[in-house]
Amino acid sequence: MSTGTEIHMMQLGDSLFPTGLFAASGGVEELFMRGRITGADGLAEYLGSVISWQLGPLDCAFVAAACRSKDRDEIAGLDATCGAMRINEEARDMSRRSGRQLAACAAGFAGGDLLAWYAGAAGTGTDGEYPVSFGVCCGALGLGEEAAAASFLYGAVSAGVGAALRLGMVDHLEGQQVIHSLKPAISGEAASCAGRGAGDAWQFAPEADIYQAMHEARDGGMFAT
Amino acid sequence: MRIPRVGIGGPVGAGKTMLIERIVPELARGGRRVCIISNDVISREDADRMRENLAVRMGVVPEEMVIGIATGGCPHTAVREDPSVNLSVIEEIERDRPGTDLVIIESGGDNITTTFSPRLADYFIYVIDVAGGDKYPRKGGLGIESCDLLVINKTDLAPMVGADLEVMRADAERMRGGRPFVFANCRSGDGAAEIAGRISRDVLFSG
Repeated sequence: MSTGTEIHMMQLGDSLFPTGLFAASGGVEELFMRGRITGADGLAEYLGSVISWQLGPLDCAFVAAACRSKDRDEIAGLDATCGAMRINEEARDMSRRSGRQLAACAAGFAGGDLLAWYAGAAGTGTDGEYPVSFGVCCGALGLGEEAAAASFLYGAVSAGVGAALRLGMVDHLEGQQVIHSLKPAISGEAASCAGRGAGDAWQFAPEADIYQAMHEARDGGMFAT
Repeated sequence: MRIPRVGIGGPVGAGKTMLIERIVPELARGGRRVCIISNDVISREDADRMRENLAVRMGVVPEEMVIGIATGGCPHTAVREDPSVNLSVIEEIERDRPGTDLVIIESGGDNITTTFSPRLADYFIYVIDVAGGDKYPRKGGLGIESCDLLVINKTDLAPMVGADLEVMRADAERMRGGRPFVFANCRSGDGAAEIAGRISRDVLFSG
């Protein structure tokens, strides 16, 4: 991996990158408010489970496929399938909003007809699903599938820890320890996603799905509904 | 088509929501179709209140044009560092409601450094209130100093909190280098017509 590639990864995975995901907790808020997770150990266990059972096998399959694809029809198909496999409306809505903004932002500095098309098509011809959008952006920047997936997963973990920090579930030192503890899981899932596509995507994360669904019905909370 | 956008920020309790409840009827009387996006830190209470008052009771905006966004505890992030969610909602309004004349974006209550991303808001109104003390304007801060229009609200409370409005006037003039500010009492409606007029002139380019 070249230094240039690493910097692209850092930019896309950085919490500064404007995707709106800071406003989502990915179920962490609901788990905390209901007393299901109260500290760093529980947070690391939850995020690790989501990486292994949802973000890795489902989202990263779409990240990888979109990253290597050069075909508009294929990407539109990935978009549709990805959206159909996301169970909760709140998560689906956030995925589309973030994906569209991600593509629009990246198209402002990354070249390529495919990204320009996707940024223009997202919200009209396609839905702009975040994993697909992330993969298209990574492809435009010349990232490989593994690097793209690693950056994607790091961003998700960072967002989850950021939510936990704001909720007071963990402190700033514990947050970094949680991120560090999840590096093997991130690396492992990223390494295994190369060559995968929509036909390989699967998920089994009932805890995350159920608590995210409960969050949709929450009347008042810190994170987006 | 890009719809003009006004951002309204200010500390918690300064009167941002009530200001919107006062200026939207003024704008509607002038035939303006307004959409309101209310960012709130932990709830959508402000959006629910505006929907009830402006849509249900007064009928000056459609119910679906009052939109609440929960910002995850970072009101300034949602309107400045990463306005993606707000921009996403506005893009939908521009696509689905092209006849809309103006989008008003209310920030969640924040501190005196609040500003809006220039990609999100074309015009920035910052609201402070007299009850915070007459020192407020001279303390400065990005919001007070850089906004397009400073609104000093709750003038009726000045005698009760010992605030000198003339001190606030002089400090506001000095800190803002002659840029506009308006004294208002959103409870009674004083100042609302002037603020709506400034929006019409400076943002919508009409009288």
